[in-house]
Formats: sequence, structure tokens, C-alpha cells
Amino acid sequence: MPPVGNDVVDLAAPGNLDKSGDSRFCGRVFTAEERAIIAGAARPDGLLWAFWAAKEAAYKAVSRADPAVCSIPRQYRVVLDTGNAAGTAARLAGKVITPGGELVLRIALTADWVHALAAGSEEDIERICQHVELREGTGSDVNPSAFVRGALLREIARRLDCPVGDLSVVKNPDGLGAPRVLFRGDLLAAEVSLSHDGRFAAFAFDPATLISADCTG
Amino acid sequence: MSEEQITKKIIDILRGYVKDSALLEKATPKTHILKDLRVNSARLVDIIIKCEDVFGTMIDDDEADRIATIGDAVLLIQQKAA
Repeated sequence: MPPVGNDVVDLAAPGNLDKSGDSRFCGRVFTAEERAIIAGAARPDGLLWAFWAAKEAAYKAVSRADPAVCSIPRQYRVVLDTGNAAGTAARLAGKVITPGGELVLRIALTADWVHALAAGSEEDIERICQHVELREGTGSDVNPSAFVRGALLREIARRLDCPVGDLSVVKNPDGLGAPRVLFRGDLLAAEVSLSHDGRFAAFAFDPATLISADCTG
Repeated sequence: MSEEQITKKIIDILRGYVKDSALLEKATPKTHILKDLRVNSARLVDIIIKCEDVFGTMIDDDEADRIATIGDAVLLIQQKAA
């Protein structure tokens, strides 16, 4: 299955504020080139979290095939397409060069959140279904993991034209690794990526892979 | 510094980043910082920086990459103090 990874960041979450002024955090996470681009951006914190989300999305994508791949953020190098580097656009494009290969990148940057999507090719990324949603309630009454799983399953149910109850998200018993989806007890081939941070939750999957895992050989 | 003292200090550091304090009450060396304590990856970077300050040491990228559980963090600090 083509790799897919996504990551959302709530720009107003307490730990995410004014991070561009945290030189030790930036030094540990970003390359010198990335730090220079962030420092010169119109919205340094917005671009900082866009770069962070890009690295996270890319790690999620490459770690599916290689769970032991290194997760050192500086080894995931974000390269924005020419013209994007000021970070003023609402939508950015580029690539992430990872220890597991190069991935295509799309970033959405708003006043409230940033969302990054990484996939194996331009063709793959154009096909991927992605959503960012404001979590209902926004308080501790809503479990963020349950919320994002529910949002994902509603979208898959709509596409498969089946009741949501026919679907469930499963993880490895150790809680690690990428989640998978069961349809009436059978594992779907689709690789899904889930993310949540603060007030927001996001998911991504390739609709072309909503078939039984048994059909993929 | 004993293993018990290091563990206590690491738990104290984690307290500033774990929203549900009940999760820390039942923490063990095998407790996974991201999955079990629901700490996000960006906060894990902050935790590593805080560990450098509290224990007066430098933690490089490869060492940080090996920290998944509380036990991993305790072991690393022990090794660096030896």
C-alpha cells in the first residue's frame, strides 16, 4: 500500500505558543536551513508548526514499512517548493527527505491550525481523502482518540455505503504502529493516519485501498 | 544518584506534561511516554530538554531517539552518570 501520514497542530494549544523563540527546541528539531526559513517567515510560529507537522506526517508514513526507522526530527528535512518559503500562503507544497526515502508534502496553514499530509507520490497525494475537524465540546468530555476514530469511520462508511457499526479501528496489541480498519470483521487494505492536538483532529487515507486486505495479495 | 532517585525526578518532570495525572500514579519502567501517558511528540522534545537541565547532562539525537519508556529514560541517565 502507498505510504500515507498526516499530522495536525493546534496553534493555540498552551505548549505550542511562541515556540519560535525557544532556541533549544528549534535547534533540536530543525535543520539550520529550516530555522533560517522559520526566522524569516511572516508567521514564524505558524511555519514552525507546519514544518513540525510535515516531519511528523512523514515519519508516520515511512514508519509503516519500517517501524524501527529513526524518528530524529532533523533527519526529516522539509523542502518547500520555490515561492512557498515565506510561509505566507494558506497552502504549501514540497517534499520531506526522510531516512526511508523522499515523500511528497502538502500543508494547510490557517490562523488556528496547521495540517500536513505526506505520501509517496504526486499521484497518491492527489487521491488521498483528508479531513481536519474541530472536536465537539473541545473539553475533556470528548476523548480525542475516540473522536478522530469516529470521524474516520463515518467517512469510510459513507464511501462504502454501509452502517458505521460495520467498521472498527484496530491497533496492535502493544498500542504501537499504524491503525487499521476492520469491515465486517475483515481487515481492509487501507492504511489510515490519525492525528489530534488540542481542539483539532484529523485523518487521512487512500480511498483506492478500501478493499479487503486479502485482495491485495 | 540511585535508580529510585532518577525515576522520581523523571516522574516529576513528566508531571508537567501529562494531562491526566492518574496515568502517572500507575506508571512503571515499562510505561510508554507517548502511548501510555498520552504525551505528544513535541512535548517529548520539551521533556528531553528538561531532563538535560535537571540532570545537568547533554542528550544527543541518537540517545533521545532511544527513549520510548520511563525505563529507557532512567537507564540513559544512569549510563550518562556512570
